[in-house]
Amino acid sequence: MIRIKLLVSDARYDEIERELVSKGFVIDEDSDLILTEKDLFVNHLIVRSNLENERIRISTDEIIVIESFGHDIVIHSAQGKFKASERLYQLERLLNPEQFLRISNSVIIARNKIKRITPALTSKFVLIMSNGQTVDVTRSYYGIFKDRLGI
Amino acid sequence: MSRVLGLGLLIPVAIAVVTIAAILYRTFYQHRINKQLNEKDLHTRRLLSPWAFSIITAFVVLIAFVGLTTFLALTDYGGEKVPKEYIEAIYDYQDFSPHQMTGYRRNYSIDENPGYTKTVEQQGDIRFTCFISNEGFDYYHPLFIVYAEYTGDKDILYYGIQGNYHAPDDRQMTGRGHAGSEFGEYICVIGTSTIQSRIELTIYLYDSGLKGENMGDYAAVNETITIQIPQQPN
Repeated sequence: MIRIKLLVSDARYDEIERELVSKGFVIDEDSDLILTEKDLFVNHLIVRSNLENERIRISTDEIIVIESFGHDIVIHSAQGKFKASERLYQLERLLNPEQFLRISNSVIIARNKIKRITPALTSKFVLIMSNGQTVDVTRSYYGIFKDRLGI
Repeated sequence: MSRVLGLGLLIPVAIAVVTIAAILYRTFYQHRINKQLNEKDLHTRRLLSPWAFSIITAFVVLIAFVGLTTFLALTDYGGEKVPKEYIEAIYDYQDFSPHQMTGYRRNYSIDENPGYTKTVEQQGDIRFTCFISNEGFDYYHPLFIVYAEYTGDKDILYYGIQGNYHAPDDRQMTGRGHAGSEFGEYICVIGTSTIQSRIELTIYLYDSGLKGENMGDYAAVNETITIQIPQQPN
């Protein structure tokens, strides 16, 4: 029995799920094997609650910051903290670049959740997000950040 | 002095200018990007980053600093400019007691020296007999010869001399002196100068072996004679 995780658009999810189940596949959100679409940008993620470890589906509109701590990916949203099973680079590909922006090797932010930008004298920005969290735009991502925000 | 002080101030001033400009620009930049962010008015006008602004400002200030110091060096602005003829000038004197009037110095006389114009001047208890060359400067003969004789009634044991050369604008070019030489019948001073100058020769006469911080301390007599050296032919 092959377990597979589906990362496809809502419009095609049911159809693909049905087809895979009929072929003997098991849909499992924890599976390492992922089936996805080319150039797909998801509008929700399946995450786990920090406390009860239950699966929750959150809209990408609610996401403020995504941070990686070693193997853990923590999603900060207005509702609290959640854990994602995907790697940060995978999330970076799945999330709409119009909405999300990578600002360091370990952080992705929602562009519309930036509350304040503080420039440092060196090539660096410090961002205060809408939940009060402070994150740094590191030197490597400084130029990309400026370009993407047009500042 | 003021020029050195001015140049010394340029470096901290330049650093202060760059620092203040960088801080002000950073404040402006922060205000501007946050205004753009809040108004969702991104991609309107790109601003120079504070880091780039600091580098450019430092570069501009460095260029200005180099330009200013070069200008000061080339124009000698704010400093005392020493004319080239003063730097290249030859001026010096020597003094002798009667027993030192040997060799070529035997040719000099307190009465008459061919080719020299004689003047006699009494200053207090010292009589100065001066001879100024009619031919002007040459490398082999003194431009002036001065004899100083004591005409008082004290028992003079030692003498001292201070000679100061002044440029026509009254700035002192050089000055040196000594004291403690054994005094004889007179003091003979010979000297020269390749440029127009004023020479002040001060003779100190001592009737004891006491010496102080200044040459005038314990001097029984001290008198000064001024010798005007006219413009010398090139």
